[in-house]
Amino acid sequence: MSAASTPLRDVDDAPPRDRVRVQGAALPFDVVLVLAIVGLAICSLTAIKSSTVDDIAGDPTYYFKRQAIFFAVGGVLSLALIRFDYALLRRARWWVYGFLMASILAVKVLGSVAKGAQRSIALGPFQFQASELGKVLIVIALASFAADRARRLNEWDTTARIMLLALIPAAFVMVQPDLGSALVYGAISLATLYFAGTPVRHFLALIALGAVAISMVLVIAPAAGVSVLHGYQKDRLTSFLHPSADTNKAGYQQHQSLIAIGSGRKTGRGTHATQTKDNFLPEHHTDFINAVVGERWGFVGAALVLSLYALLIWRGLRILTMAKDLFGAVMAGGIVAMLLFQVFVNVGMTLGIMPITGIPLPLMSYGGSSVVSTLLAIGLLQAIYVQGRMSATTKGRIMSH
Amino acid sequence: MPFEPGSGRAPITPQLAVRVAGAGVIALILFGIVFFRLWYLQVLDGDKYLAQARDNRVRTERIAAPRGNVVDASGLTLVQNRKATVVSVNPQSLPVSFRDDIAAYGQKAGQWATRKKALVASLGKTKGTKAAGTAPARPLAAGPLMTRFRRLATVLEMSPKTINDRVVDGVVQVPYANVRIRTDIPAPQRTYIEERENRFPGVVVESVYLRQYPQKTLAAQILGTIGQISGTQIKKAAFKGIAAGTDIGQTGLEAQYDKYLRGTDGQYRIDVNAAGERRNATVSTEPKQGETLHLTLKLELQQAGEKYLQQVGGGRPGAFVAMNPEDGSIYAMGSYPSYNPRDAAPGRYSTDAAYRAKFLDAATDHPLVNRADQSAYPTGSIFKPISTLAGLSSGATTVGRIFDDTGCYQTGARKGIDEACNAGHQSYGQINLIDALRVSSDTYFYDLGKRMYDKLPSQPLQDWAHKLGVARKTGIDLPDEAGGSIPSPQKVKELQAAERKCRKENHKASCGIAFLDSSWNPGDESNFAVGQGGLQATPLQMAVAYSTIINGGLVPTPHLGAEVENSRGYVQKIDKPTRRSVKIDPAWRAAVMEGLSQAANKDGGTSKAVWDQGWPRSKYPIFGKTGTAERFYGPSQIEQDQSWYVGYSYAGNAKHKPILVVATVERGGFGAATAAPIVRLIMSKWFGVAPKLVRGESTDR
Repeated sequence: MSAASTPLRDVDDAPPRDRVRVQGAALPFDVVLVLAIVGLAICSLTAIKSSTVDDIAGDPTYYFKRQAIFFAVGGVLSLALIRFDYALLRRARWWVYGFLMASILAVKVLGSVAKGAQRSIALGPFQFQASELGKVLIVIALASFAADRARRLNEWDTTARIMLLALIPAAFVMVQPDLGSALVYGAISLATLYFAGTPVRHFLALIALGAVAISMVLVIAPAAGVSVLHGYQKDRLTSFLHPSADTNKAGYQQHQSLIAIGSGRKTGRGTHATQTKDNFLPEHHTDFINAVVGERWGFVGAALVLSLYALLIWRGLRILTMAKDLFGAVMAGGIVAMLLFQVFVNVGMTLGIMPITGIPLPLMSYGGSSVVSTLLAIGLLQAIYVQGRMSATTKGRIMSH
Repeated sequence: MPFEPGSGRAPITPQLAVRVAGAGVIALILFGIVFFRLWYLQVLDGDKYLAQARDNRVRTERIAAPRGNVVDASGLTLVQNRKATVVSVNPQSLPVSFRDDIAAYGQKAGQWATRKKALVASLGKTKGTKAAGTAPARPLAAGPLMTRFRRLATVLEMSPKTINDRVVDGVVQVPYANVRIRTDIPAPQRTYIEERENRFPGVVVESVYLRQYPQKTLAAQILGTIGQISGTQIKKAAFKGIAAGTDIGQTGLEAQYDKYLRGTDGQYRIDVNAAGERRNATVSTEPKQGETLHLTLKLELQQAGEKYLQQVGGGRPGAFVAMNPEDGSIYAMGSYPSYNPRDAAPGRYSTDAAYRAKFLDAATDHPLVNRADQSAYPTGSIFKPISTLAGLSSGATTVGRIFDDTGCYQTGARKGIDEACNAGHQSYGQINLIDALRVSSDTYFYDLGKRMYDKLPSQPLQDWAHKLGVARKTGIDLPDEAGGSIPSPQKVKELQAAERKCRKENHKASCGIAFLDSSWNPGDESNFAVGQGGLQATPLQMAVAYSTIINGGLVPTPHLGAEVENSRGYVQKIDKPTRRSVKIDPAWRAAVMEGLSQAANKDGGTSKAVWDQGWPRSKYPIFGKTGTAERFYGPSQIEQDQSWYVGYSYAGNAKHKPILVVATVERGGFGAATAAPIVRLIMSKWFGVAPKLVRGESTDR
């Protein structure tokens, strides 16, 4: 009891400025980040519970219960990571990368086929989607490689290697087919280079290469008789440009999503929601969860969820600046990029301004692999935060408000 | 520990700080875009999307309105409705591949039918058309669809193949409407299917109203039939807003007054989910039954007329019209043979051949045709009053002029060939115009025809026939009324032109339409004057012509519809048709009426015998004219007499309105023998005189 009360007495005696510092030190992790996560978890569970009542006959809370379990498991793992010395990950970088590749290949060999795609391995009653965990693993792996070459970042060789390391798993994921995850890997790799400090000219070169690659995939390859993208993927990628043109095929989901969100108006339709509840919008509990929020709770609800994400991104960037080393900073940057990219593409998709790519909304969409992987990433952020603070404290540096 | 800015490693490199700031700006922009878009969708356009969401969820389904009843002048029911359960299949529930097969089959079957038709036309017979190939086979459902058909077949007690064929034929005919599989199923079967909705996907069980005809075959051609609206009909303006699959009037009064009888469909409002499963159904609009159509028809007279036409006519085809000559309202109108409209209802016959055998083949004597207004015949002597008016008005004859009837008349120069005689070569001696009508002297009218021929280029006979409505549509409120034909110099030229064209196109020596070497000659005009020689008119047209003479010039428009009454009892008169009038000198009319009176009452009158036994002449005076038209039947063109009679009477009191009856029986012999007795019996019913069948013995046409 006395041990616990000692710092408190310190606080009382301390000048106002120190008071903040000591109070911050009393909590061993970023509270605001935790609050954002808890807020999103509550929103996710509420949205899933209300929109999936009729989806599984005889079990109105099927998805809700499972999502709650995912959050619980992910939450525990996330807490466990707070005190984890992430420097270990840098040492085990090849193991991490190897595990990433192995799990993606395992899906190819052992995976079960769902909705025409082979994306997951059955683990008991759950489906493990390797590409989701892969998002976190690739953040770690790329950050380690970037940190290794911290002094040679302005060499073309470094940029090429890092890109190659990212593109190999991306290519494997793309043929699953899981175009969305492949794009996320791409975003992470660019973010890694960006935060590590790769010169601007390298980015310009990458953009030029990317433009060539895209025109190869979309124009030249089909002309030569080789199709890299599936027809439905191309339809999805382009249908957002004209959502009402073909409301029965590729544009259907997006059209229904727009109706759902638009019909929510300012304060939402609440229990009168029909679009998402009566299944006019398929995948409403997974990729289109934002439409559920938009329809049931309107602009108010959707803005709240977006604000929580903004909070998350802000905290992520803040943790990036507090990292004790380049590895931590780049890893935090990768995680922030991963979250921001997914949030923007997913929400944009439900709003009809981004193509349908099968990217889930992190921490909102139903799905164990995504929820647990994202919470692991959040745990890593917390670890970077904690270790950044500890290092600053030992070095006499404290960053606080 | 105090804050020491100078100690240790700088917090972050300036470069990283810039990049983090850049990332922050990017994040800010992205969130800005998303917020703006969200605000645009939800706050600015929200109402539009809310409306779309509601449309999504609510589906409407048609509740077919019962058609209006049809009743006679005293409100006795001729057509009503009966509720029945119908099992249909929604074509949208069929797999796309099967629908594609059906579409391909429909195309092939259509081509085959066209080929076969062309072959039949070129051969002139139905045998030996094997060259057209066999009819394409209907596609057969497979897999789960066949299982569905089999399951349904077991419940409905029919074969799965029949269900398959009905679905195929239905989709070929009207691709978007539900296909009726079975009409009138018992309640237990209905319940069985309804309680197992998910076992019968795409099967629709609904209540429909079927037409019911308590009088069976009575007035069938007048009442007409109903049937599903066709692909071509649905595009017409008259049927705007009518849903596919609706039964509409296809023939007769059902078609003529469809807009009144049709009613207004109601609507179910059905809440559905995305899979189309019903959540809740409510009646949002009650269906409104069509209006009740009141006819001028008198049920009892109609029954009597049809009975006598059949009995006296000996089962030969024929027709009668009984109407008020003053206003054109029709009391009764019948055609034999008739049919039960119930049998002509859609979906009653599985094949076209079965339908044809019952309604269209030559052996059926064409029951669908209303011979009273859709068949044009030569009229024989009942045309003579019209010749009389033409003769008087043109000055070709006078009432008092005496003509020496020697029994035969020389129409041209050639002896024996250009000669026409009275029936039985009867010679009537010195006769005037009234006598000529009484005895129906052909020679008098042959001579009159020649006299009018001499007036060319004026054509009094053709003009009068046209003015009185002969070979001219009467404007009756029935669809598909026939016109007819009046012989004339122009008509001969028209026919010869057609013959020439036909010979040229078909490279034939003769098409049999007209002789090219002959022209309009006095004999043609003489023939026309006795109601032959190419004259073609319907019984109804003759009724109108006689009514005009009786009215002294006013041409009535015959009609059956009197008024329509909606469900709230609001009665609306059907617009009275416009009438035209013809100028008839009262003296000419008096001459014709005198002739008609003498023909029915005075010694030597052609139909005197028919009215002799027990007809109260003083109470109900009779005016009548017999007709015996020479008409050619069958492929070998055997000449047979068609019996005609026109009778008119009035009671001179308010209880009985005047009545004009025209009757004709194909191959019925002389006018007095068959048609006149039918007219007497119909009039007996009208005036309440004891019915008595008296066949005339006159041998005069």
